Amino acid sequence: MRRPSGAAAAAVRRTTAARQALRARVRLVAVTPLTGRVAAGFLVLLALAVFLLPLLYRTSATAADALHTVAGPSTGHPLGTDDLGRDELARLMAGGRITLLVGVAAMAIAVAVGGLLGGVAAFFQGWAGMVIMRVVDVMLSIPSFFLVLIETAVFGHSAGVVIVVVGLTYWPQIARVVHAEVLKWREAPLVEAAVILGNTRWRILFRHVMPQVLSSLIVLATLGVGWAILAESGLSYLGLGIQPPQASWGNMLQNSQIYIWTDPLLGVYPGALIFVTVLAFSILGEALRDALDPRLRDQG
Amino acid sequence: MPEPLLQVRNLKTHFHGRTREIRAVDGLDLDVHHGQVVCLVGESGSGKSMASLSVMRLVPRPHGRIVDGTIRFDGRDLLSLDERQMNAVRGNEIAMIFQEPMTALNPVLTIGEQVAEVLHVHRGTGRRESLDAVVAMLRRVGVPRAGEIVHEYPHQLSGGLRQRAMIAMAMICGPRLLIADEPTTALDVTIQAQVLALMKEVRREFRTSIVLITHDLGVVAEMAEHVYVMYAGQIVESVAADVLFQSPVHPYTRALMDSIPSLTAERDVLFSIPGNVPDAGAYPEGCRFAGRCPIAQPSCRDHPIPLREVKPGHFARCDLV
Repeated sequence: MRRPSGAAAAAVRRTTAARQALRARVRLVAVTPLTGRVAAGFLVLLALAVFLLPLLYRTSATAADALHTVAGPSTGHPLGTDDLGRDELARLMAGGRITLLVGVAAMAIAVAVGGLLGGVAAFFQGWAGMVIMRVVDVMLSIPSFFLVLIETAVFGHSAGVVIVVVGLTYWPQIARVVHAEVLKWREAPLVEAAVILGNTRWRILFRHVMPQVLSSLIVLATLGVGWAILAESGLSYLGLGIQPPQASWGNMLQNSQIYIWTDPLLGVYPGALIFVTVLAFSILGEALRDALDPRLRDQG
Repeated sequence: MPEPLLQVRNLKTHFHGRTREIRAVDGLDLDVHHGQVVCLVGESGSGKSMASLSVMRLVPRPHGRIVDGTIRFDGRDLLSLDERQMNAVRGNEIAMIFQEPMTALNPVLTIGEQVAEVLHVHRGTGRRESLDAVVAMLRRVGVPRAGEIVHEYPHQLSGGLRQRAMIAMAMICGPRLLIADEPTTALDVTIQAQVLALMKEVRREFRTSIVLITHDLGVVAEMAEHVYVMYAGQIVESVAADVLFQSPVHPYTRALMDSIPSLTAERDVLFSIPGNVPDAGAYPEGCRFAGRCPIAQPSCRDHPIPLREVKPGHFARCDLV
């Protein structure tokens, strides 16, 4: 057989690698329970709706229409208007953007901080690890939502603050799980082998140990996004999160309270969306746990 | 004779237990010459694995430490290197392979990534450029379909292929010394033979010295040029391999040979050495084998027995032979 040229061989290698990666992804979908796939589908649709639909539906979320307040569905306002005559559909989309953004960004912070600190504490141990894990214990002993409440009361109410506060409140949960997993993996022969091959300690932690923890991290983060969305909605509902006129499902819910008898749908829309979204993240998280943990999968 | 590649003198690796000192390696002398295959033989707990970990400066801390001795490798004193310098030796100049290739390989990285990583760590080679070197290395250690296997994960390979991949990782930087700690124990017999043949070839092709740690005298007969027999943390006999099998002198070595089932002799019960290895926390003052030795005399027990040259080039730690 003639040796293929370098470029052709590289192309073949790339496609092989790509095909294998694709196969791994397909397999993950196949073993994810149906409920999880439905939840994931819903979340994708929701994300498309809140991020892309505004490109087509250009009604402002903040422009007030004084002549049509608390009005039911009409051609101009498919889902009606709120107490200031703002378009309900546009506000739901704007609120969804904030809610999803806060949930995902806060969890990204929690995963980064919790994963790093938990991993370092378990891998290097010593007094620094001791201090980190005692901080985790202290933070876990305080009810998270009250912690978030206090922090937003102190630091302010912008979306950025809410993201940071929620993320920095959730990280101990992640740190504790990562800590336990890394403790288990640092004794594995593959770590010994990596030492013997001349890897530095940090390289071993990030290249050989942390990837083993990734599946737990994905599950935790997915469940955590649900928690973060709930926290953001709760804060906004109490007036400590996203501030009007900026829309958020939480403050829309609060706003609709006094119209519960005149126009109950104003409360149903954001409430149902919060409920279904959080539920979808929970179901997806559980489904991913089943899919990523072969021990649970075999028990059917 | 030129200076040996690896020269270990009076190595003592101890562990402190709660109440006493465990002397895992207790005054080890060992030479490995360029291109030589040296076998370290001994039963479980004799200190042979701890001796190899000491050479790599990987004695489990905080309980274990090297308390005395020198380890000279290629003219340098390994015990005086700092951690960064030692990392440059590990996997680069001295490589090691293990018993269990499955658990030593990383399940989430492909074989290619893992072999390439060793190159990256020691040579700074980028992952893409090293791919060709990795494939070539896998071919040299007899991995079929090397071009595809670089993209596969450890769980997709058979035990023999995994061990070959381990050997490829160990050899990719062209180390001068390869330490193999029971490399064939976890493999079935046909694969064992292949891996041993491969190690011979690796040694011939790369001119690498090999320290083979084993409890299997069959492997010793197959591979070794020089054999060190370890017992209770010490070398009890040191001699060229062919001499060892012809005329072992130390009673322990002879007992080991007698424990091998023979194809021809008729015997109902397999021979085994009576008694147990002495407690590493409380070695007797005198000969450590005296309690199990068929020819022990009262005088064996009252003084430490030195390693003595019984014939030219043949050392044994016994006064009676």
